[in-house]
Amino acid sequence: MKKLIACLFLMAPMPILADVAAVITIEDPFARAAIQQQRNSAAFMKLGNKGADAAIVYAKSPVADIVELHTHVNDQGVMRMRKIERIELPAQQTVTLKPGGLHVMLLGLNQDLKVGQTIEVTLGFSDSSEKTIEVPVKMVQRPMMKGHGKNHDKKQMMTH
Amino acid sequence: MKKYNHLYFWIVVICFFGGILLAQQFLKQQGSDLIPGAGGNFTLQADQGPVALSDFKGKVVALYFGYMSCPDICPTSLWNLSAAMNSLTREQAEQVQGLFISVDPERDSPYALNLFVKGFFDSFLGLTGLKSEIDKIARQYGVIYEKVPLPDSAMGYVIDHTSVIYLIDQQGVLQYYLPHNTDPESIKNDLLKLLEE
Repeated sequence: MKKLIACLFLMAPMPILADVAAVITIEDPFARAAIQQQRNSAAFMKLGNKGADAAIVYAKSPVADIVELHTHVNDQGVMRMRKIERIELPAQQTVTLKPGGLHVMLLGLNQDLKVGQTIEVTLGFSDSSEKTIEVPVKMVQRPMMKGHGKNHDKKQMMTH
Repeated sequence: MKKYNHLYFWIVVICFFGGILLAQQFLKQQGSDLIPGAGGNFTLQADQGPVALSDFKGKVVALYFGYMSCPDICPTSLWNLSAAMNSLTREQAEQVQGLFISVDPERDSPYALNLFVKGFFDSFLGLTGLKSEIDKIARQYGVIYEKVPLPDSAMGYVIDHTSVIYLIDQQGVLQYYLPHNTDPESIKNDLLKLLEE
């Protein structure tokens, strides 16, 4: 009986703490395949936030020496990659990390990342909670699609 | 005398705004359009020795400027090009030469570049040289690149760069400018147009 009461006391504060990690949903994670001298890669995913405003403030992975948070700016066709301190996850919104934009940057890979393999990535949030996810390695390229002419792409670049 | 003052004033105003318009036009072209007269021959170092654009007379050349530490933009472009190459017949693919010019001569050696590009497509060649040589070729093709220190990143520095695939015809003349993330089907179609000429 005493044990049960002790347990109840221990459990009571949990809902109040409501970890950021517990309210973040992650969909479609993938990391870019990297072989043959490619010592850097990147991981991408869709992040949903069912709680209050939060942010990713760091990331780590056993396959990379250092993991950073980066973004890309397409400045009239010139791609400018920059390190950022945090990836904001506004309340009740979805944030997409995708090629050409926000990404988890894997620096100094200690192994090749081959298609079909899965790597572990841990995200650290603003309340210092963490979430570790399994990220499949994929070849990242645009699919062969019919009817997507050059003009379409030109337009797309300008609206970026 | 007063009349003349007026005249001078308007000449200055017209020159000033004309200058701004011209500068804008020029900057716009650098960003998103083929500059008339862009392109031309060059020689750089591959792992196998010096390579010149003119070595590939008779073939179509797909040219890209990037760097090996680039985690996303360059691999995406190379995979798109590689997918387009794989969708050609073997005979057609043999008539196309992919060239990757490093804009990071400090970090990318010819040896490493060779292994790097072969990971995307077997016949691709990776080229590098002195910074002054790469600068000259970048100017020829209207490529903007800039080393930017990132002191708070383990990367040390990144290279901001234009992400464009240039298609050069069998006579060495620059024909197409494919903006970043042009899909493989479009790349293939433009390659075929040049191959059929």
